Amino acid sequence: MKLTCTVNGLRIEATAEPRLLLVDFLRHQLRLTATHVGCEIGVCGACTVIVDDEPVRSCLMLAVQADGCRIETAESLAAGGELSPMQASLHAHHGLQCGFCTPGILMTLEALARSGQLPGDEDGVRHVLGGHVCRCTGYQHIVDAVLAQAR
Amino acid sequence: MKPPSFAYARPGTVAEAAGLLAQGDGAVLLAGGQSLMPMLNLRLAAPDTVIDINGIAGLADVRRDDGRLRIGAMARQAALMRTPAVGEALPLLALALPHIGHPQTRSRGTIGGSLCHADPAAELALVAVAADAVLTLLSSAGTRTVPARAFFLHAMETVRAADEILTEITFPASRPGARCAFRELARRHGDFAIAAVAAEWSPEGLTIAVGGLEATPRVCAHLSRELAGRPFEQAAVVRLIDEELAQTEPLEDGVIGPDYRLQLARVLLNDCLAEVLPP
Repeated sequence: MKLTCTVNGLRIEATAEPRLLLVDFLRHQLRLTATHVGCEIGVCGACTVIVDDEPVRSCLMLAVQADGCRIETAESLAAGGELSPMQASLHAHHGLQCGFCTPGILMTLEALARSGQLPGDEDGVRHVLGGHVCRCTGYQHIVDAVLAQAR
Repeated sequence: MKPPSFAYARPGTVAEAAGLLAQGDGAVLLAGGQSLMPMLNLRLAAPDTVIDINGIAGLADVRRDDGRLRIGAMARQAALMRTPAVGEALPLLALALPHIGHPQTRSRGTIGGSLCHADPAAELALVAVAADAVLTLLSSAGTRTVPARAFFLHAMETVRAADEILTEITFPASRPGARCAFRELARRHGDFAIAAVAAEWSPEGLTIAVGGLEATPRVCAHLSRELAGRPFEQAAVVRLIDEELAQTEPLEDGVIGPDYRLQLARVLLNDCLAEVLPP
């Protein structure tokens, strides 16, 4: 099937089998490998991207469903080689270790920050991060990074 | 894993979708995809055709209509959280929405998809039953309405026929002066509830319902009847909760035993009643 979408500001025309997941389309067809494949059942959050301004699990969307959509991945964040404020905050607070979960977390935070929904309190931040699994940090440093940025 | 092969259709109207569904077995509707997509990825579902209803205009509208709130089946959970009419007309629904999954799943997950999936622990099924919502089902043969209280047959099983599409959910608006409570317990936030309770009290009456405990949400008719018009009195509440729960058949899923589920239901029922009943 044909699909046309915008990925990180670039217009993409492509064909995809209906069963192809959006995350696999991004990684294998567009070679945008910042978006990671974790659980493939929508629980771990590693594949989170922004679709039409909302944070979305790209393992729970078919590539063909992205037809007509505007998609943003973590590759869009450090455009020009400069870290985004949230990336810089995660760096400064040691909010990542292996980095597998980080692109997904960044896209959730980016979407919420843009729509003014980024919580400024620890409970709220932990609620948002509840949609992401991180096995390295114990979350505290991620929470610190987000709070520093939210303030 | 990856989904098995299937044919994909993206109808532009409900009538077109109903026509595709009527063509035969082996087709499934794809709403928000937050339950169907994991089932496809795990190959627990292997449909011949996936009918994607995300492209149908007008299926996600929220309208106030003569003391009722009409919600299109494709209204996303995140969108409902941002809709002022939901908080005003249905505070019980507004209280339940943040318990559903996470921001990253509520952005796609729909009210209609959740109701048709009919997970015993689903918050939206519990609220639809507690608030006595009415569901509109459409097929090529016409439309019919079914009360939410008659919609759920068993875990993951509803009265929706294979050729029907849930198009709208109509809630009676909350009564003036109503007090609502929603509580659930899950191992982690966003996990399936082990038990959940929804309660709404007003000077005219009380409705309290429990989800997660049994295969389908239960309206606690005995509790609602006995406690309507009465203040919160601990001893009586404990006795009535035990009488209500004695009639239940708690789920046993191999991880959470029926006794623990019952105990949680007991605590959550008590907490919700303490919150909504007059002192």
